[in-house]
Amino acid sequence: MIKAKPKPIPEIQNYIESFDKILIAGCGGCVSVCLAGGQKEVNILKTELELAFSKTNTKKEIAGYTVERQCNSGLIEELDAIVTHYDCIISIACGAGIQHLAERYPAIPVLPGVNTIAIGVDLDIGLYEERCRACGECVLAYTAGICPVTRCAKGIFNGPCGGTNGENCEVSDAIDCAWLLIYNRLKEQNRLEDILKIQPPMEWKNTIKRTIVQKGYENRYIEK
Amino acid sequence: MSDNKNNNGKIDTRTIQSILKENKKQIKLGLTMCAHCSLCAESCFLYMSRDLDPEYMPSYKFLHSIGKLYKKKGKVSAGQLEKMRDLVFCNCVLCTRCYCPFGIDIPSLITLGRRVCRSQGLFREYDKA
Amino acid sequence: MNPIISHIIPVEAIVDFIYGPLIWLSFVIFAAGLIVQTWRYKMMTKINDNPPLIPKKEIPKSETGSRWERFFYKLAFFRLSVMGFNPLLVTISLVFHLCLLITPLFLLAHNIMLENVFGFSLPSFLPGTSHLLTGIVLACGFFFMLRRIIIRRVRAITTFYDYLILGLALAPFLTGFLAHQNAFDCYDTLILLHILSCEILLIMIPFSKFFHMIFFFFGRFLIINEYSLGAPKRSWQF
Repeated sequence: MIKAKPKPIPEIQNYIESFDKILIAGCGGCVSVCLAGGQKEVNILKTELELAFSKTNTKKEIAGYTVERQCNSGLIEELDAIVTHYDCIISIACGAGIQHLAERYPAIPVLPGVNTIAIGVDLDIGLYEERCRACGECVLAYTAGICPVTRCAKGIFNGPCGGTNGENCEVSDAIDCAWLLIYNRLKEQNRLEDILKIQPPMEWKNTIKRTIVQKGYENRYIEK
Repeated sequence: MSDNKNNNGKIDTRTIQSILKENKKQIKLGLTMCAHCSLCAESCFLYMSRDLDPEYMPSYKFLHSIGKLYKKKGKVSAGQLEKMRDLVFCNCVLCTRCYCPFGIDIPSLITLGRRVCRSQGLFREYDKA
Repeated sequence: MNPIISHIIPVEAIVDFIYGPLIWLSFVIFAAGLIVQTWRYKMMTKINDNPPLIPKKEIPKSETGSRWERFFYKLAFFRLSVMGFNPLLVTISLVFHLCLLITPLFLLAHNIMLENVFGFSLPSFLPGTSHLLTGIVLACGFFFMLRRIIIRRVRAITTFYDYLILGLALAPFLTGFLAHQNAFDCYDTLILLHILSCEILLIMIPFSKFFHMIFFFFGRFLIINEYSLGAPKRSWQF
């Protein structure tokens, strides 16, 4: 799922300074799972901000409310009646959720409370690692299930590049060379011929906003 | 305004009742129209992967959470509400794919169940192993 | 009739009421109830403001799929639908509901009464066919009852009310059939029960779970949903 990390309190404090009534909007979806934006984190952020402001004797009215998922307009509806009481909203959902709130309440500043980082896996409680960059053109079939877009610093489709020292990436010795991993696994699976197939370059569709029309819904959303 | 916060085990019946009142039409419609036919069962991936346990059936989940709350007019004990929390948060991931022959919007009813739980400081804690 | 009982309770007056005005009353309540309830539910919906259509040229061809691909997708969808999972139950439900509707409509005795009162009637089944259809309804009803008792997942959500509803739906068929056979030599009582149960049923339909008779079409053909049929345009607005 989507992984996010709370922003440092001073940063948040800085951009809410001019507002008196602040609503922290949590999300029960992915950010709840990665312990960054659920109801508990709403309460934590609320307490942290209150403490931070009490140090400077600033009076702020801070409240929290968590909805099921901020990426669904039906599920943020319950905020409609609440947001009118506040000067600004700190959303601690992923980037999509924050923008969705901002679109729905254009009159109220919506500010991010987390940094959305990656689509990743849970290694353990509170420990996550990136796996996917949502490029929109999955090539995992011939890279032995190792993503060259996410794990190769250059994101090259036909690797490795000349920068590898045989084990690591030239960016850092702490980073494995993704193409070495791909080579090793393909070898184990006896599919080494896959690495020799030249793959066409990617169109990098994720540089602009993409719309997804799901199979079976073409008639409803696409012009005939 | 309803602010979802931790009430330390105390149930604020009035908040629950206001949520029930606000969504009365929807809850009533769901409860009246559900024919208890169990045709929704197979559409739930959790039901299919949890040994066909009826507690994962979509209709069971909404009948025993928001349905029960509505019938009891919001007067539930902390223990009962905790049971509902487990039902709506742990037995459902709100993937919104439930089938209903009558087109009852089961996910939104389960969402209401979650909303009631949230208003009482009850939610799924992902940091508890 | 025990004279003391009939002295306290005006039995004859009640029987006359059931045979006469209550029939008309139940039909009026049934029809008015259906209209009012349908209107009420319609007021709970709104025409969905769909997002503007996406121009076809903005969608890469590889993403729309060929006609065959789309057909196979729909086929797979059907296989995984409720029909694919529960073919027996769906078939029995369809047969049950169909017989439930057509049996009383095309019953000879009902149509003779229609002819007598209004001077017109619907075509009628042969008595044998009607018996068969009644038997099917009762058998399906029995199947539903057994299902409620035996299958774990149905039992988990079954309440007393469900049996009551099922019993009410079947009562007219059972009493009507028994009356026709003159069972236990008490035709009068059975036909009275038959009429009474029909009246209760008619009055209850718009205001109980029976309203799914209309709501099924409402919820599946009118409301946008993953499982909606046709091309609905509405969504709920409670």
